[in-house]
Amino acid sequence: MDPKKSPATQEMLGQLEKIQKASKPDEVHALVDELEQNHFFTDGNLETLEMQREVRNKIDHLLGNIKIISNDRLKGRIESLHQKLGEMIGAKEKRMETPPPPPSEEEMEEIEEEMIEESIPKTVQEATTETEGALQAETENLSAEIEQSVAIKTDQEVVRETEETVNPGMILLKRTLKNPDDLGETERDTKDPTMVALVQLMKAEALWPNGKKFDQDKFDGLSALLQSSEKIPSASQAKKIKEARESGVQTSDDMDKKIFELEEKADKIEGEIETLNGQIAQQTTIMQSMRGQVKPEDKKKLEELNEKLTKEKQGQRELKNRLKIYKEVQPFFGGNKLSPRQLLLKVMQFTQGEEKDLKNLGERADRLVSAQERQMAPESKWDKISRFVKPSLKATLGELSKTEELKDLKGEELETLAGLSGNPDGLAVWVGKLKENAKNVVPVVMAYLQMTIVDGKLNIISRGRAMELLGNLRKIRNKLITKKVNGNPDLLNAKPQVRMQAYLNEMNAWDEKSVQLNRNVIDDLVMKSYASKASKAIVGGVALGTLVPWIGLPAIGSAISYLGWGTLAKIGLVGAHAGGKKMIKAFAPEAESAYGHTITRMTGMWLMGPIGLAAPELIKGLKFMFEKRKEIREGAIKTGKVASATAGVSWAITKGAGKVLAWPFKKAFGKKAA
Amino acid sequence: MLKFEFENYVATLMEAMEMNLAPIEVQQDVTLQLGRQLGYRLMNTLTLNFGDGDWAKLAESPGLEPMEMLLEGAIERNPSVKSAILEELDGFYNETLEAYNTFKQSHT
Repeated sequence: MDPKKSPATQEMLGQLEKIQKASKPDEVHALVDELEQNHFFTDGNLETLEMQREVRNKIDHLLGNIKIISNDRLKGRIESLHQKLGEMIGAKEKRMETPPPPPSEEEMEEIEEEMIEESIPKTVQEATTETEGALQAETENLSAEIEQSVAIKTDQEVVRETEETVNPGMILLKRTLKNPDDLGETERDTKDPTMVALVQLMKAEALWPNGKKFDQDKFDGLSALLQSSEKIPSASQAKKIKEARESGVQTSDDMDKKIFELEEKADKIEGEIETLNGQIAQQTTIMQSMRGQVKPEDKKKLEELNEKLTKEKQGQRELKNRLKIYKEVQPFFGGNKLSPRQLLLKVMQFTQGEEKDLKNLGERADRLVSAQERQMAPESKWDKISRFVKPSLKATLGELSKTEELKDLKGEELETLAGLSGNPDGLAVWVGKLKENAKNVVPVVMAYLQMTIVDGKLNIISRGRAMELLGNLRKIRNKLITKKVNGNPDLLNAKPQVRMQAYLNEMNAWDEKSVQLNRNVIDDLVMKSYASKASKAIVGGVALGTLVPWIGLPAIGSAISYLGWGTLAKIGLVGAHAGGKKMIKAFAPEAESAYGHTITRMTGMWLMGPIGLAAPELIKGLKFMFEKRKEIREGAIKTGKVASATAGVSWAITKGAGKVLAWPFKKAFGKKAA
Repeated sequence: MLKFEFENYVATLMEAMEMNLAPIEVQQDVTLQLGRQLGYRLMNTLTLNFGDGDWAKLAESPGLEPMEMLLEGAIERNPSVKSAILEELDGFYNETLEAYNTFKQSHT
């Protein structure tokens, strides 16, 4: 027994020895039961740190050494004792650390002065109140300004403003009510066939003074009807409506969407403010617990948090004001608004007397509007097409429409052919190329459409639009084929089943051509797009270090398969652009058309070039290689060096950076090489 | 399931066109041509859903069997493409019958 150890410690160590020597789990469990009641594990203040540490060491020894502890439950109990003891020791050690000395009187005075003088962050309450006050003052000033600016407008100006901001139907209404002669101006100025139909109707019904007979009573009745169904905004509302329209809100759907977006933003700001409040409160608490010894970084953090809060609150206030305005003028964007068509229906309802069936009225209104559309200058349709189609294509299509195959196509079907364009250049090229052979136009255009379906990925035309046009074009194609089959003298007396056979054969022949054309066109367009993307990536500096070798290596792989290492090395030694060309001509003239241009540029760049200078050359080289892919493929197969060519390609592909750029190589080599 | 539906589809279309009235060689050729045309049609459907890889394979060897395998694979990858395929099949069915009726009327 060690006299330096307390009796309790000695007893504890004795019990732990018993555990060490115990052979049965039940014995150990009983001993652990006793230990758990011992003050070593219930009150850390009763023993010295030294004694506590000694007991803990003994338990460590037990945990590492005796067999009986392999029993999980026993082990768990002893580990638990170990942990409890460890926590008590830790707490005691912490209490026994020397606290920092309190600040001197002078230091305290300095701190207090700092707290008074500098902008020590205010409490959340104070900051908020101050901000709110400032914003309130600003809002009041702004409101006064708006009111003042509105007040100086005359009544006429306000009315005009109201008309302009609400809807064109209102323009018509106001003009009709105030000055019926203005209706003529509407008819002249508008391009809206519904408005024109409305004016024509009012003329026909003598509701317009320039009609044959002007019926004042009828006019007054209609005016009252229209006026009663229309809500007219006030001058300040008119200004708000105008502002809303200028921000992009045109229809009631737009308004609903806008309000929804703003409400969502408001919720988000609310969340941000809550978070900031929480952070400020936390920071304030931390600083308060420091008993006046506030660290500069803590002060700064609190300042920053308050600044953020002020900003968020300001944003919230602006958002709320805006929402308020939008909600106020929301009714004027829907509900009571009369569209030109609604006006037309109202006038028809008024003038048709007993005609109450709105469905019939609607159909008649549609017929009126269609009649106006037909009467409106035919070139308006071509004007629309011309926005997308070059004059040369328009002329080409005009000529084509006179050909035997296409002359019986309706306007809409021709428009389909012409209006395909998201890419007028592409279509013009294809149609221009086959100008002399009109019957090939449809398959070409179908190929173009199919291409554009793929190119929907490249944002040339939307899928939906492409599918719609493809459907139209199929109808044209079907019509032409049916006509051809029926007009075939060999099939004059043929059964319908035999004609179906001819029909399907013709259809497939056209589609096969489309597929062939499709491939080339897709390849071309995709290549352009990828080259463009690659160019941007290169110019943007993305993966410049790795990109060039991955482009160069496939090119070199192909060159090796065609030219051989020797020639390539000679070219490489020269390196320079012009010199390489000469070398190609000297050593492998047959390669010049297939590779020379590309290899010269690419090899030269790879050996020499700063990447930035190489970028445009890279793209040209890539494009050239792609254009010559057939020759490359044939050359590779001919020389039997397909493997090395595809190895180069595979390398590029597997390295990932070449995935996009390797696509054309894969298309050129992959199928045959496999 | 798709294979079964596809065979039924072609058979139904042939029946609707009263192909039993035609010589056997005509029937055989029409079956083949129907398959090819469907291949081209479904090419677009697959292109829209998967890109250019699948249509390229289909275009190389149009015919019933490879097309069925391709479609089954496509549906496995994206089950929602089945509705697009069936829509295309419906469209073709109606167009084909319309053409047949035109020929039938002009024949009588």
